[in-house]
Amino acid sequence: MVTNIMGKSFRGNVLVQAGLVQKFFGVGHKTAGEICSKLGFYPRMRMHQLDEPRILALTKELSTLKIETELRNEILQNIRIKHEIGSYQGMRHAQGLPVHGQRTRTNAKNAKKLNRLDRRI
Amino acid sequence: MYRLGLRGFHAGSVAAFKQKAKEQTVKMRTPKKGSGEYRNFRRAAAYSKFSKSASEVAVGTENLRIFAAPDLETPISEPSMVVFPDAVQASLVHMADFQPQQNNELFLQRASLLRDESSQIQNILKQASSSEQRALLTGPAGSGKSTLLAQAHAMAKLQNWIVLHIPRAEELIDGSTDAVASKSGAVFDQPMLSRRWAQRIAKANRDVLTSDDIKLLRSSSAKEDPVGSLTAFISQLENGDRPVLISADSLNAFVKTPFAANRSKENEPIYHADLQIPRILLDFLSAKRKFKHGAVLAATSGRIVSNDTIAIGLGHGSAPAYATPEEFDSELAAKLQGIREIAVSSFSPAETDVYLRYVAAAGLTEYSPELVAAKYAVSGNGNPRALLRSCVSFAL
Repeated sequence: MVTNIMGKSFRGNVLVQAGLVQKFFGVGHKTAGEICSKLGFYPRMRMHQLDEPRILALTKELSTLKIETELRNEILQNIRIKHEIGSYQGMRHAQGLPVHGQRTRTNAKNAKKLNRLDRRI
Repeated sequence: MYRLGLRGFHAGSVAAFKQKAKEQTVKMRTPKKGSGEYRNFRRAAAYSKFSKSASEVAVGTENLRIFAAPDLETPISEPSMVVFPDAVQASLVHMADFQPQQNNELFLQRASLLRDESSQIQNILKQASSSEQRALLTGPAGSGKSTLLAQAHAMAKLQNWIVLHIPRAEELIDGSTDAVASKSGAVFDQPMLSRRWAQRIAKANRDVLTSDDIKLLRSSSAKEDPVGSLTAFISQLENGDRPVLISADSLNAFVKTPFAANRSKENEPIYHADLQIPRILLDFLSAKRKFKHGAVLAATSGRIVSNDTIAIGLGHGSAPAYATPEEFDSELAAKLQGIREIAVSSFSPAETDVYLRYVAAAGLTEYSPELVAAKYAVSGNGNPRALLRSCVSFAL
């Protein structure tokens, strides 16, 4: 049985709290716990136990948060601003090098792989 | 299904798939690190109805007898293996008194050993009308605390008592069911658990409850107002003069985790005594609420590692000065004051002898006086669970 919440589909036997953490960018264990407590979902509640009103309440709650595309755009925007104002961090992002003063003689593998202005998040 | 699925494939890809399947080596699962015990087997064995193929022990012999209502009048002086009447056994099953870790699958009958501690329980039930009876069974893992609770239930059922039993107290606080703030805000209601407990009570006490009681409990198990109906039922029992035994197993779950996994709407942790069903249980255990004619029994669990709260509450030692709630729960310790402790010890050599005669009669080992001495030593001076496992796991 599949439950759909805000365009994401969840397996029925997934814990609500864990499912939210897994599928929504910007929702961690803390936020998921807070949402579940607020809506009265008990800790071991599973996705298939969510009925229509509960899904609506959950959707309403999630829509108030800055998550998914909105959060990704904000992060990219912040990188872009750093570049535009000519800051060192912006430059390092553009060069694909570590931003926080790490060494580059060795290591820096992740930075070389990931850091760029239109970074994939 | 398999064939239908293949029909759509291209013939070449099917051949490639077959070749790949042939070449693929079977990956062996790496064994889990640990004590070497294969837990899944134990669990599977408990639920696999192996007991149906176990050999029967003749009832009415020196190895096994039926324990019926008239036996309650005579004090238990010698250890003996007993089996309870079928109707009582059915109630015990509804109360989840037979647990998977007890290796019940080895025997056809659900027998238990009447021992010193059983006579203490018999006395508690006898004196229930004259004085307040609250007791806590303590002892190491596998010493027979849950079995003694089951015996208490059987004795109570033989005397037509109403038994309210919570088989696993940890389930009340582990977040597997809901907890909703009540209208007053002081307590968190547990509708799902109320419904389940009401069903359990109705099934286990079908013979002694009136039709009105059943109706009330059924309305509790329906989706109407489970909390209100259960509360009303327990208040009725409290104000009436019917004999009631309220009991709970694994009470030390409250000590291990004083706060429930559930949280309030504000995401604040909930103290276990603020939940509806633990509160009912602890109210009766601390004598805040009383039945006119009744007893309260609880048992700790050897499975759950807990701190010294229960020992201190029972009067062994004094409270530590600088302890966090996780280290010492003063509120719970205060509730346990005045409770009689029944320290469940291991089997004595005489009890081991009786028990091994029964085990031998069930075809699990061969009886000899030397075996009794050997098994007594192997099991750490008569720990019942270790004793049975030693009989099954390795022969001497």
